[in-house]
Amino acid sequence: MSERTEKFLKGKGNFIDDITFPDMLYLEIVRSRKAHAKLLKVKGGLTADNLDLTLISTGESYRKGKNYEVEPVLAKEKVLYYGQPVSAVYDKDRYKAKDLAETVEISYEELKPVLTIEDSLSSKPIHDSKKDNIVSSFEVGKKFSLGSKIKLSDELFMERVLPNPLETRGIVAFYNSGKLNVWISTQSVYSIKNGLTRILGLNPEDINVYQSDTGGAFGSKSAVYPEYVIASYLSIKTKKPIKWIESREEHISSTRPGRGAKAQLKIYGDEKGKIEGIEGKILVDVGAFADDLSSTSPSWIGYQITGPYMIENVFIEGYSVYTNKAPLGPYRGAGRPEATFFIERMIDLYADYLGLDPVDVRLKNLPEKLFESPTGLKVLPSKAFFEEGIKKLNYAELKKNKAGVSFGILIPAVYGGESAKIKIESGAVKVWLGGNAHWQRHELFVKRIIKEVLGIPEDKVILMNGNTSELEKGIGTWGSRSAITAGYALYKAALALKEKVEKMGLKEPQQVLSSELSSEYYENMQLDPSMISFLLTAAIAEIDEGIKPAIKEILAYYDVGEPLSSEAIYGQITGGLLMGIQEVLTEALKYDEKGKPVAETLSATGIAYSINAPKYDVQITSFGRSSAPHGAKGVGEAGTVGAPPASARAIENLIKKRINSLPINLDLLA
Amino acid sequence: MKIKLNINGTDYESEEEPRMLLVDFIRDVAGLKGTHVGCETGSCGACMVLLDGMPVKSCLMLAVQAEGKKIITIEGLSEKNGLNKVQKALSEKKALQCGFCAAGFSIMGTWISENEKNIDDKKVKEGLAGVVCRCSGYDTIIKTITEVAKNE
Repeated sequence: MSERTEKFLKGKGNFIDDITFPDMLYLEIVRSRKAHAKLLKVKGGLTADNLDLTLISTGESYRKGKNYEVEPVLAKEKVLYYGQPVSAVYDKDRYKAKDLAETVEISYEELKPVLTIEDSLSSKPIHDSKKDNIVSSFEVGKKFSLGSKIKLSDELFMERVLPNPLETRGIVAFYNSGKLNVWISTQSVYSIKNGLTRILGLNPEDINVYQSDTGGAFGSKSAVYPEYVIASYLSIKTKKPIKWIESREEHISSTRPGRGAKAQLKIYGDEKGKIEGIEGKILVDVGAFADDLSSTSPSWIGYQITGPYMIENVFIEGYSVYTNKAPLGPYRGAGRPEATFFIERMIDLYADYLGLDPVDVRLKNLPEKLFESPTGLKVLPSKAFFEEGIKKLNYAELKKNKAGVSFGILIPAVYGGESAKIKIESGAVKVWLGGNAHWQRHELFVKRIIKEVLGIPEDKVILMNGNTSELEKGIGTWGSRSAITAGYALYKAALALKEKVEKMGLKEPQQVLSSELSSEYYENMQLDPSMISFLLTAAIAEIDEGIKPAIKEILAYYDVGEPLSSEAIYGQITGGLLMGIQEVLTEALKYDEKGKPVAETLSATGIAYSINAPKYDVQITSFGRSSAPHGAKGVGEAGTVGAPPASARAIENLIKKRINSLPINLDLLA
Repeated sequence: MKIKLNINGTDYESEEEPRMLLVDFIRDVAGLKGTHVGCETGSCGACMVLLDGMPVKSCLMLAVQAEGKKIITIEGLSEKNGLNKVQKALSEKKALQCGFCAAGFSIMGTWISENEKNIDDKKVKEGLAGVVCRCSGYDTIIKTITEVAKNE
């Protein structure tokens, strides 16, 4: 039993909106109601005239980009997306704060919004200081020229998708006795602390960040957003606790969505199904402002475009471009689902052209020894894994059911490593991790590692929420990294503690629990091929009521290395699979011709409900341990990587029309 | 105006604006934080409560509309602040992840298990169709509630 889950089921969670203080003020953000306009007048509330700051890149934004325009905390002179913060008001009453927001006057001079990648490339720059709308460009792989017998091209697209955690974003900032204390629903108290420190010019020792129970994130709670800066600033100014809770409508208009990626690809091959090369362009719509993560996503997608395959020739040009839409952020998978969808759809195209079985073509192109792609990606020999998996999933039966099959890889974001702290206090072992869980079940691997290394019973181990004053340094939870990085740091911290225990001659767990020992560990990590897991996914589709495509069964044969907890992994995989399926069917963030999100409610964003859940057949397997001492691999994003290409193919098999754009266009069924 | 509500057997009385939503009364006046706001539009069910035994979404009604009715929240599903059968099974099967949906599945799962006849997976799936779990893909939740309901 998990104490954590039990607490939630008793209604005793401590989510961000559950945290209150006397004299607390409620913050409301007044947002742009135009996607692209000059601001003629802003009257009322806190505006850029009083608070003129810009964000910086933190969180998952780990790479260096260039030529990018970072988002201001409050819009100045121009608004560049619908939902951009323009002014801020507050009141001690939640309802009155909303009334107050209605009194802020904004007048606009509307400009034509730039809404698609094509528009972006042909339009005047949305940022006056730039010469065009290209944020960054990349080349990955190496130019080649081949006299291949077969050359096939296609354009593929994955629409924007919202993270939509069930709990929206939120913060409580309380400046008290010279220190800024921040409670926040987050994947990383460290990216929040680092961001606020730098943006507001604070001393790192004057700010503490505490993680509230976090009701899901899926990428949306890793970075610093304007509202966090505003709440902190206002608390410093008023010396009162300030709370901001995002509405769902604000989540839809202003939280960073993911995907929005296009590929124009050409696949080269012989007549027998041997792939000889892949080349083309990858274009990503980063929205109105860029950061390191969004602006480098085309090269990240390009880097892993060969998936588990041995493709000797690769050349990808990548471009990230501005549009008048909310800035792009990571969404579960962040680049991995894009790369997988693109290459898998191209392989299906190639197999169909040759009239070959698409699984046979895939198996034919897998490496039997370590393969280094021209992009630098190193992949272990994957052939044995997929051959075994396709047998385990009973391919003959799948074929009968017109299943779609995808092969894939999952590259964990291990860079930066992670930290962990163990402290024995009042007869219990308390653990803090640098990556802040939102109950993807870090709790279970934490208990298991402590039990294995220190022999302490699981019910005496408590995983604490993120806290920068307990554990000073850390990274965050994202990119299928936690089991590997946080698991590794905890394992090492536990070994160090064990050494102390042995030196002191403490033998029984009870003696250890009565001590006051503690141990902390941090280490950077480098990706090596043993950490990359292989994913085999199959989907079976049906056409509901003769009109609506649905996935009735999804099968997964996933390599997780040494599984830290099978139960935990099962829920992670099924959750990701359903998100991946839904992205094929209905889930998307679409905009109208004026740049306003079409959906205003959660259900209108097309997310999955229980009635959309397929039959799941999940086989958790290990294709060898990773090089981390406890052998774990990543799993969090496996389903969102594997499900889209398999599901798209399954539907394609039924409707006999090529699917190259997500979510699928229902007109194809007509 | 004065609003008086009975929640989990306790009377709460407070001077509030007529526009106050039931969910805000439960959370901010009664201080029962287990009922959550996930979407404000009835899409997600995180705010579910039982109103005279029927499941309702407390973000879609005014507090004053609930006067004279018996309101049960997630905290009141079992006596002495424990867990009822559905809650216990959801916990044991590790069916939830982030936990924000706990009120929705506890309330709706309890109602289904106590009121639906000849239960099967399909009925549970349909019965839960107004409650969102964004983490788990619903599989373990559906299986767990079906099992409890079958044994009712």
